[in-house]
Parts: sequence; C-alpha cells; structure tokens
Amino acid sequence: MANTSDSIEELTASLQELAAYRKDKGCDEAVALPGILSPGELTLSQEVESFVQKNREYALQSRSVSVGIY
Amino acid sequence: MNFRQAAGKQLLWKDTGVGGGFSNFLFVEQNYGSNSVLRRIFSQARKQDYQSVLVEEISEAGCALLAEENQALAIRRPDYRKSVAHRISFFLSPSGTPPKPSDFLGYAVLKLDHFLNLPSPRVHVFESVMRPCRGEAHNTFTRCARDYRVTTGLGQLSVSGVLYAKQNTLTYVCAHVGLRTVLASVLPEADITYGRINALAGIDHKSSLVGEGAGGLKPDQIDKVFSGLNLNVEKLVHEPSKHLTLPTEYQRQLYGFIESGCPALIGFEADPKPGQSSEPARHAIPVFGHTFDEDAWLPDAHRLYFGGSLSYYPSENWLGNFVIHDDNFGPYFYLPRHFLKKDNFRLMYGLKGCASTFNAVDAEAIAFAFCDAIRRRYPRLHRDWYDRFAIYTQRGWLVLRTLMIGKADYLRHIREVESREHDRLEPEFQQHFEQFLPAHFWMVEASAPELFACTRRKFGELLLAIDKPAQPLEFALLLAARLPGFLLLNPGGGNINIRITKLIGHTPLFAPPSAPRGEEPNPEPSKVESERQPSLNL
Repeated sequence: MANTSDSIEELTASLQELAAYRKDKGCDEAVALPGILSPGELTLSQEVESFVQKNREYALQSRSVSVGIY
Repeated sequence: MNFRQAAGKQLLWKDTGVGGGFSNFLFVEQNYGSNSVLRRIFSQARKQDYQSVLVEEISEAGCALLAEENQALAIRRPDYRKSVAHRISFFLSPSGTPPKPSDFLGYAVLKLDHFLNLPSPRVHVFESVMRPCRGEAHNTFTRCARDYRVTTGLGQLSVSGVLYAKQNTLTYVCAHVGLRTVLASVLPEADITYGRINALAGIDHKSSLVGEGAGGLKPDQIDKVFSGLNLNVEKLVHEPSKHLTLPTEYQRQLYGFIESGCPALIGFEADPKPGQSSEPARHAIPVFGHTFDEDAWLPDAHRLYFGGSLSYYPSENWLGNFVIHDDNFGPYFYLPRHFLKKDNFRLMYGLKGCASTFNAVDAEAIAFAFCDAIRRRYPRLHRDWYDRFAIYTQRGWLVLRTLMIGKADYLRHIREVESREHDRLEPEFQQHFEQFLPAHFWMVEASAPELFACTRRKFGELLLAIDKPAQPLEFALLLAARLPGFLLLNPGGGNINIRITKLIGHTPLFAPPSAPRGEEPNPEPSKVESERQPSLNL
C-alpha cells in the first residue's frame, strides 16, 4: 500500500517548524543580509556540471548525423 | 503576390448557419472531392458558429505564387496540365452583410491539380490560417500565431493563427509543409515559399527530386534550409540503430522551445505495417503550443508511485498536450505529452530567439544548483516567503519553469508584477536591470506546486547568461536572482551584490505579450541569403 511519501512528511515538518518559529518570535526578526556575496560563499553542485557536459557531448556527437527521410 | 494578397473572382458567398440547410459534408463532397483536411477546416468554422462562406477563384495572372507552384509541377511531372485554386473564407456574418473585422474566422486555399494521366484532379489544401477554436481560456497556449491580412472581395481582413499546409507529394512533402509552418511563425514575412525551401535544400525537380518515387527531405537538407536562413536552431537526434540515444526526454527539450515562444519541427518513425520489409516511414510535424493541466495528477503521482526522483518539479510536468498541425489530418491537433514516445521519436529542430551555449533543460538544472546554493548559504531569513522558498528547495518540492526571454519582455514583467500586498519592485532596481541585462537570457521561475499550478504565481526567478559556457559551472552564469525580500545582482567582476526589496511576497508568473506579430513586407529579393541578418522575429 503506497502511502504519503517521506518527501511530503519532510516538507510538512519543515513548514511546521516555520510556523512554530513565527508563533514564538513574530515576524520582526528577519536576518540581516550583507551587501556583498562572494562566489566562495556559495557551493554549486558538480552533479549539474556533469549532467550538462553529458548533454553537450551528445549534441556535438549527433548534430551532423543525417538518417532517414521526412 | 501570394494567395492572401491576390484579388479573387467571387464564385459564391453562401449562408451556412445551422438550420439554414447548408451541410459542410455535402459542400466538400460536391465541390472538393470529399477532401478530409478541408472537412476538418469546415468543422472548425462550424465550431465557431460561422454564418457564411465565400469562395473566390485565384488565377495565375493575379497570383505569382500560384504561377511559381504550377511551373514547379510542370517540371516535376510532364503530364501536368493545369491547376484551379479556390480561396475559401469563413465569416461569422451572414452573406449580404459586410463583415466586421471580428467576423473573419480565416481562410483555406484549395488547389486542384490536373494531370493528363489521372482521371480526376488531385485536391489538397495549399494553405490555411484559421482562428484557433481554443485559447488561453481553454488552457491552450500558442505563442507562434501571426496576424495575416487577407484581401477578400469583401475587404481586407485579418486573422490570427498558425499557418497550416498540406504536402502535394510531388514538389513538397511533409518536411516542407512542417518547415513552412515553423518558418512562418518566426520569419518577418510570416511565410516562405516552397520554391525558396527547395532552393535552399538543393531540390530542382530535375536532378534532385522529392515526393513520389523519390522520398522526402533528408535531415542534412533540412539543416541547409535553417542555416540558409541564418536561424538559431537546436537539432536533437535520437537514432538507436546508429547507437545514438538521446540522454534526456525529447518532450522536455521540446517544451523548452515552445515555452520560450518558438516552434519546433519533430520527426518520428511510424510503426512498421504488417508484412512490411522496408524501413518504416517517417513523418515530420510542426509543434507550436501546449496545454496546461492545472489539476494534473502526474507530478505528484510520478514521484510517489512510479519512482520519479528529480530534485525539483519541471513545470513541464503540468503539460498535457502539445499543439500541432499534421498535414495528413489538418490544423490544430493535440498531441498528448506521453503518446509519442522515445521509441518512435527520431529528430527535432527547435527554434531559438538567440544562440545559446546550453539548452533549456540544462538551464533548469543549473538554476536549481543556484537555488540550492542560495538556500544552503541562507537557510532561513525569517521572512515567510523566502523561508518557504528555502524549504521547498531543500525538500525537492520546487517547481522550475524555464524560458529564453528578451530583455524588453523581462523589464515589462518586473514593472507589472506585484505581491498580494500590492508591493512592487522598486524603480531603482528596474533601472538597474535595464542597464546591465543583456538582450536575451534564460529566465528560470521558481515556484511551489500549489502556487504554480493553481494560482500561477512564484517565489521569484533566476536569470542566467545564455552566452557563457556551463563548464565549469561558475557564478558568471548567474546574472541575477529575484527572491522574496532580496535580489542578487551580478554585474560581473567577482562579487555579487545583495539588495533588499520590499517585495517580499509571491508574484505572478511571466505571461508573454498576447498580441500576435503581423506579416512584414517581403525582404529585398535581390539580397543574397548570406547577406541577410538573422531574421527570427521574436
């Protein structure tokens, strides 16, 4: 029997944490942001890079192929 | 002079309203050899409650395009004798009453080609532009429609639609008519002749033929048509017999073109017929729109029941059908997203408003990487809608919608959007975007399933450069991000500026301009192809 996924439960729990925080603290304690963000402060997934590379290699390999008639 | 501009000789103008005794079937059976495509076009007029039909004969003397087509036929088949062409126009007004501009539903040109060795003429719809029966009110989105002016005997009238055409199997085949629809959607003149397509593809009807006994266009000939017109096109090939297996779903790539307002031409292989020993036939169809199913079950069900494991929901999950023409059947059909599977798919040419170093599917994955990096850096800001964005990103519930967009359209969008609290983006940021954004870029809208599908709203959007390589994945790709309560602005040179905005709520999704583009005068005929500027009219 398929039931509500872990993913839904995790989302629900996180949103409930947010609701609880709001109830405790109110909405007037927003975190202040700095004016500048240096690239080193953000970490990008390399998984995406390999996904893009795979697609690019396939496009280059298949671009000049001419098979069939339409 | 094309069939729309040509003056015609009126043959009849007849009332067609229901109850008046007019039968679409009978009319097509008696006059046009029971042509099935024409029956569909008449049925589309009926669906829109048309009240009269005007039939005009177009002569070679009044229509240079007709003369050109007939000349090509005479070269192709020595027994070609003559052609008769009728322009059939559909009106919401009854006969005898001058139609108002809004009464014009569209037209079809019927061509009857006579050959000495055939007992009856061959009938086909040379072209047709009809007002689509379904639009945004019916969750159908077609951004490739153009305005066409038609000089009827009842006055010059305009119709907005996507040009349809049927192959004649002698001088043009399915690839030609598919190309014509695709090119008509983007070229300034909103149409192209078969003569020009054939010239670009190297078909002269003498030493190189298409159609009966010769077959269709090869992909490398289609390549030449696009390159000869200096268009930005992305080609996707899926040829398992050549060990070329497309790594992604072609439907996601196709959606990327359509959602960006550009058409695509797709080619597929038919299933072999019983007992068939030769290669299965292939067919090409133009795709130019999609439907949006806001209550689609698939996005959630795919994850929970069928093993889908993406880190986010591509907005394409809510697409139900692609809107296509199939020259064998007629205009404006729906192709269900999951019907034409990869087993049969072989080829796609997607038009783009601008050359890009990566495609829409890649852009979406890159945008997700940026969203994820941002939420890791700022897990919570204690601003409701930003925090929800971070949670949805972390938990894999973000919806991403990717479009290639022009700067002017984006500036219009951010001028117009406002939160439920009626907050808008501050004018200083609008000016900033105006100063530093390039002419075209990828916009990836970030939303939640409930916002995206039901109320068509979003957390914000990321803007990615289209002209920078995606490897290595660097911050130079991110032009800007607009999220609830703040902006990330990357003018280049290293650091990213963070700016606070009072726009802290969710805002509407991008909606393209609704007015279709019109035809423009034909370009200078003496200009050689190589001198022409890239002519995608977006």
